[in-house]
Amino acid sequence: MKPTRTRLEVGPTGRVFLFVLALTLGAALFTQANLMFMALGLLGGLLLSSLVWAWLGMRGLELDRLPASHGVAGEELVLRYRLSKAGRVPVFSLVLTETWGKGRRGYKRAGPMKERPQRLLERPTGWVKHLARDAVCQAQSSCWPIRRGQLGLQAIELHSDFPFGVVRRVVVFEDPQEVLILPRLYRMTRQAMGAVTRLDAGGFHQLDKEGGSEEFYCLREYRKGDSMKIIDWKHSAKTGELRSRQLTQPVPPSLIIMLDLSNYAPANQDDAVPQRTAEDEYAIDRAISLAASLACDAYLAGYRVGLNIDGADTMPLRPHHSHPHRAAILETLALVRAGTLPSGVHAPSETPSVIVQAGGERGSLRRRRAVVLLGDELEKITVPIAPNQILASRHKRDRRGERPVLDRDEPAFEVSSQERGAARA
Amino acid sequence: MNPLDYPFRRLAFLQILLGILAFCIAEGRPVLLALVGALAVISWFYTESGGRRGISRQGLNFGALGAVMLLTLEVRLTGASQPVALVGHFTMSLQVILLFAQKGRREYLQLIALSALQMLSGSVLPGGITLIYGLLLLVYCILALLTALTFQLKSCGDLVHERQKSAAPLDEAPAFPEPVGGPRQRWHFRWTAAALGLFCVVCAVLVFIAAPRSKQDGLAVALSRPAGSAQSQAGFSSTINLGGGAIGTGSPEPVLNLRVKRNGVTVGGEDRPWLLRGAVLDQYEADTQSWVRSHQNATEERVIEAGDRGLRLANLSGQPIYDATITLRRISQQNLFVPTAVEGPVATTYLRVSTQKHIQFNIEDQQLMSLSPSSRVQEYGVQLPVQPQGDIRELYKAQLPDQVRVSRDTGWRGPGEADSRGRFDFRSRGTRFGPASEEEDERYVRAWSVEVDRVGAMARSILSSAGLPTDLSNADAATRRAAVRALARYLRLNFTYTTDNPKSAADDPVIGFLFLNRAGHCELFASGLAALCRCVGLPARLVTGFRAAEYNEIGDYYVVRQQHAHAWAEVDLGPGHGWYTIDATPASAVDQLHFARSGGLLGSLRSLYDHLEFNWIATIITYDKRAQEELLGAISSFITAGPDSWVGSARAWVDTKSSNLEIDQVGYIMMVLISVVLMVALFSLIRTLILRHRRMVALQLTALPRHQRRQLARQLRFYITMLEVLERYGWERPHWQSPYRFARDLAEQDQLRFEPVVSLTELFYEVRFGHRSLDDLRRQQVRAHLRRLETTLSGSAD
Repeated sequence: MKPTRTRLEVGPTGRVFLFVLALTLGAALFTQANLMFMALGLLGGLLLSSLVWAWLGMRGLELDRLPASHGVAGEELVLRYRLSKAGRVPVFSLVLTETWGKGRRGYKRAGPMKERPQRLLERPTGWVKHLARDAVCQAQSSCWPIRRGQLGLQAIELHSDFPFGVVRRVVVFEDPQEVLILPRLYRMTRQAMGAVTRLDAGGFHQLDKEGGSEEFYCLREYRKGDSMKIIDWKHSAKTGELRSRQLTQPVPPSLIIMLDLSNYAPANQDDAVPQRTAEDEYAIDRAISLAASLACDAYLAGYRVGLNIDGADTMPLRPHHSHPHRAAILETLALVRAGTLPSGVHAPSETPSVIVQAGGERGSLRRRRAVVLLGDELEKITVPIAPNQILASRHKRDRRGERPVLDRDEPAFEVSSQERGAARA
Repeated sequence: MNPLDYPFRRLAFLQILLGILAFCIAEGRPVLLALVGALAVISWFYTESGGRRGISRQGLNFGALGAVMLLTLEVRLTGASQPVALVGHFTMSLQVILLFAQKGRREYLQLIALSALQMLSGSVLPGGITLIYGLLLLVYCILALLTALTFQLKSCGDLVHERQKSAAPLDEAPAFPEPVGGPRQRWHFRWTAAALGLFCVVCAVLVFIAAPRSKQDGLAVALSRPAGSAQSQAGFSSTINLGGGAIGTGSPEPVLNLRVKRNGVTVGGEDRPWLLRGAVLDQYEADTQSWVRSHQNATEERVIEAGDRGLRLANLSGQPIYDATITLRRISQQNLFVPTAVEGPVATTYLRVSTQKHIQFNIEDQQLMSLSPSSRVQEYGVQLPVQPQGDIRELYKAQLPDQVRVSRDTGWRGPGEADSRGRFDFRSRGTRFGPASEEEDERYVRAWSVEVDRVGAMARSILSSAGLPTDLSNADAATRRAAVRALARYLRLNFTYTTDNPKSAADDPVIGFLFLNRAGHCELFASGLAALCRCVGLPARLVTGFRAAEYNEIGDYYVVRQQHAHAWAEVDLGPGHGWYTIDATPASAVDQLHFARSGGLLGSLRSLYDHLEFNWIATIITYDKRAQEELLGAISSFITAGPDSWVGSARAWVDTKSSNLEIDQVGYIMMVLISVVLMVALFSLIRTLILRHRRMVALQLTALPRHQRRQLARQLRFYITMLEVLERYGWERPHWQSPYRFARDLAEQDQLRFEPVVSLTELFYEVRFGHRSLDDLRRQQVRAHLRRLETTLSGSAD
């Protein structure tokens, strides 16, 4: 991809350099010292060479962002790029930065750093020390998404202030892309997993299902290709027709997770969605993280996992055990938007074994034969990462004055009735 | 950890150390250099060993406070007379403190900025004009370039790392980003640095040549002028105090260079010394035992504004002239030195100056002074007739009738600010006039007041013994010349030259010299001669300046050092003949004491260094408005002249050089032979380098460290030879095939025939990857295998 925009910048070093240049010019004219004129010429040469190098070095650059499948909130997301150089001169010290909006400070007006709650703390940045002419390299930048959801990438800014940091030529490559950020995952404690699995009856006995190799299930007529071993000779002799024995197969236990977001849903379909604060959003994310962590741990333990979400416009996922199914669950949880439907619109097809509730015990779901996990108790039932680590770290930084203080009363996420209607349609 | 961190720290430390070294050399302070240099080296071991220790921020603040106190103390002690040196010392103390501190990017930037400031300060100091400083400056610039580039790369990585750290949660510690680098990045970096350096140098030269210059001295002159340094540095004084004790041999530090040309050809040599007139003193004060200028001089003082093309003092059209160029190096003087023959009339006809706007010229004693004295290195030219005839004072008066004349009773307000009568007074500008008396005014340079009878008797006895008249008041010029020569010869033959000033019972040192000690230094010889002349009616005065007798054969110019300061006498030969220079000091004794020459290789090296330094000063340091105009004019005319003219110029240059070098036919042949040999050597060197590079590429050794690369390229040459042999007979290794696979494929075709290839390939692997050296045994094997391969392949080809 070729660059869409270019600009020339003079950074802080450049401003200092220009000041020194002006100072040297004044000193040379004032003192008439020949060596001072020489120094002035050297500084002028530095400035000129910086301009020339900025022009030559950044020519013929092409960059493509390699598509990223997904990321996980709180974990490092590596974005990869393919960078090639067609100009005649090599380029050094290339810095590539993901950016949003337009202009030098555009990322402060748009993009995931502008969103509330913030989706990224800092722009993903990568470094290419050297790129020879006619060379292709793969560069990467890292970022740590804070929240689940779609991380929208808009453009990549490539700049180099080599050789002296005086001027910087910036080329921008527009490449809109979205990366799905899965909810933050935790490891469930043994006690929590034990409590969840004990309630599920599915795992205590063999289900009556044919096709296995365990116990006798039934007889059926002989089919061509059946093994001689499974022919029930006695019954065949009695009936005069060949009969084969059908054996049962073990069925893994299932876990149906109900994510209860009804506390943040409107009472009726036509009601407006109540405004949510950053605290509410935080509570929703914690509950979603808990559900996702539970789903992943159950998948690892061999469970068939199903998912129902109450209070959001998502279709229920029937219990199943497969990698794509787990991915589907995580993607659903990553994209879930609380409050898009009133509570109880999507009735659960099966009785949930675990209810993960966001926002305390204000919910109205029936709790018979189900374990209720509260999103607020995330830290009690997961290890080893403190559940509020990300937000806590942000608040620590706020105290240091490095970040703007998060306003917890600020409405961070709103779903209008029009949006809800569109989602339903 | 940033991999560029250590290289940057090393480069920055070297740069700082070099800045300290250069400044101390410019200031001439070896003790300071030893102290600060030792502290800097200790700081390196202190901070770089054992986990990068360093004093804390608080300690740094205390240290900075100490540096400020040190600066205050120095200002109080020296009175801020040398502000540039103070700046250098202050930066040095701050550097030492910072060197011992825990350093981040900011501290290193501060250190580098201080170092650059130090270098700029050093360039303004008097020692900043030397060639050594110029070379140090060059090395400093190269180091600074590398430091800047490395710092840019390092800081870029650091910034990315910091941004990643701020992007990560607090419990995450992202590793330093792995630097993505393409192939041959080190090679590219070096070439880029070289190209940038070259480009910057070209820009610097262009700015240096074309930047507008002013005729006035700048602030640097005022800042760098050390108080009272004129005498202490130059060894030259505009007054003479005979009671001052021994004069010593003086410092060998060069003060000025003199180049004399006649008809465009440089003339000179050690057998042809020149005297450089500085101050002219005509009145002897017996009570202070010193020579000063009298008020008689003041009536003929003139202030002349020098034009861009110079200053014509006298019109001597048609006469052959000497064109002298004087390069003042380390001197802060009002006096402009003018060359004159050791024995002969005094006559200066033309002055070519570039920086002094107003020149003070005295028709009576021909003393030239600058009204804006400069401590900066400057160059000016003087023209004087080869054979002066007549009294040149009349020509001066004819040439300079309308200039501002100076009276004794006017007040000085500075050049260009004459009083209502258009007069200036120079008393406050360093010229010292003696007491005014009408009698002295009438008898300019004729009065001798100390033991006149005794001195006169001595002079008369000398003249009588030489067969000359004893009363010369009304004698003709030839008689006067013969008399003064006789007196000078007498002093040369019967008196001993010494740098001491021996104590004598006489109250007056001249009397003690003439009658008791009969030994003394040049000032006493000149005073004695003047006293003898005056007592027999010959007007005589003293001149101080330099004796230029050290000739640099390489550059064809005289080198004048501090130790060459000299004094001699001038005698008036009467109306129509003017003043006559005569040096009564025995030249051989002066040369022995003041012109200590080192012969052999050391002397040649010293001459070469002097020559290089002279060129450095003449082309770079003294480059001014006039030189700029000349250079730009020459370039312009050269460009507009066209290629034919270029060829002609080159031919003329060769002819000139050959005539200067006096090369005969054999010399030409030798030169051609030497040139051919040098060209062949250069071609061989380039070819060797190219072949080695190709070998490295063919053997894929370019990614290895340099020493390993070269060693392997040398040792694995046999494999390239084997490939060449195979290629000659039609077997070429594809570039994608490994040596092992290639050898195996050949062996599968014909095992017996290609067995040497397999053996050589095994040897190749042993040396290339097995860390085995190509010892004698393996060499023998290689030779045998190659011979066998050649034999088998040629046999099969037949």
